[in-house]
Amino acid sequence: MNIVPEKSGLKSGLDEGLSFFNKEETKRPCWSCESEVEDLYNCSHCTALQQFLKDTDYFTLFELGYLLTIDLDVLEKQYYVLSRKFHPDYYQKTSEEEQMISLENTAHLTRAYRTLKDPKKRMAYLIQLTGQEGDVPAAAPAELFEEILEIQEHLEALEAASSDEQAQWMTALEADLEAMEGHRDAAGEKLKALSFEWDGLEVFRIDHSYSNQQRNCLKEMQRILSHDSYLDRIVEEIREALDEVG
Amino acid sequence: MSYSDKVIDHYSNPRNVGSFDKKDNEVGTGIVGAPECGDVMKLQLKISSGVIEDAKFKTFGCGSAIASSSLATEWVKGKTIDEAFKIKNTEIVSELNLPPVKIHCSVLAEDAIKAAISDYKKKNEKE
Repeated sequence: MNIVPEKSGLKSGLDEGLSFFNKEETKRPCWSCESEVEDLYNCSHCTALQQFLKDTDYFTLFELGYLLTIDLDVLEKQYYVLSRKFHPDYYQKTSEEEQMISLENTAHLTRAYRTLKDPKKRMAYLIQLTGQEGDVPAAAPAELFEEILEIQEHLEALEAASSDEQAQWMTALEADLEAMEGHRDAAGEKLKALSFEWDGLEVFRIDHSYSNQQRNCLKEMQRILSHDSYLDRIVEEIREALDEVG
Repeated sequence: MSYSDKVIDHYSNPRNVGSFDKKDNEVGTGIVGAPECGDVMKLQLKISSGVIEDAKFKTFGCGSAIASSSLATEWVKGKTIDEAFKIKNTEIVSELNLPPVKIHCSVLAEDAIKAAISDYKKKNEKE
């Protein structure tokens, strides 16, 4: 299955046999007829719906490789295909076990879709999946913190300002807003570049271990992502304050 | 969820808001953030012969974060560095009656104290 825009020339890691899951690992007995199941979703013997393996990761669930470039149209189509497969409506007349599996799989699928659809969530998920999380002490972006605290003072000043002084603080905060949005755009650009870098490396990964280059790439992504919540929060606060006055 | 009286008191009347000169050798600065909510806290200690003489803070965050840092600045004053280093976030939680969802605010305050002390130590070991 093609998961990336064709023009990029990238292939899914899964197609290349680079998946974390190989067939050996997905083999398990069918809960219904006890024959061996290889398929992710159904028993090939009795066709009973199968529960996802506990740790079927979101990329594998969608039959994607561990790549950050995802064609959202393809993702959406696959989501609908899988939704139809698991939808509880189709299992109303089946056994309770199968109904339960249908519900659980649907919930898991929805979480997976929401995560993969959002580029930042997708990235954070990949970082978590590859066990990078916690490896890096989330280095405090001290400069950003200083900026935020300064803006905080402007916010307080605006709140306390008399009607004569308001315009002055609003101008200051508008400049702050522009600066913070600028940071956010720059971070977005860097993340995009890192995504491409990751995908380029991932396509050529030949075994289960990551190269240092890949690890560094993940670390850098994690560092930039860690600034994200601060930027979102301060941008939101400035907007609210300006809306209230304006 | 409502804030406890102590949180409201610290929030509406925060102690020790402000800052010291970061470059002063007697000043240790701790600046920390909580990525889960975007709160930022700066806590500064003025230290003389191993004793914390004064403390100031600035916090961008919710009422609990402001109250936690305000309380932290009150508590560290007069303590030795070692005593201040031992302040636990759980003590802040019980003093302010913080609900579970706000425990990270107290963690932030504890981290800020520790960061400020490390900054002070780092500055002064060179000489």
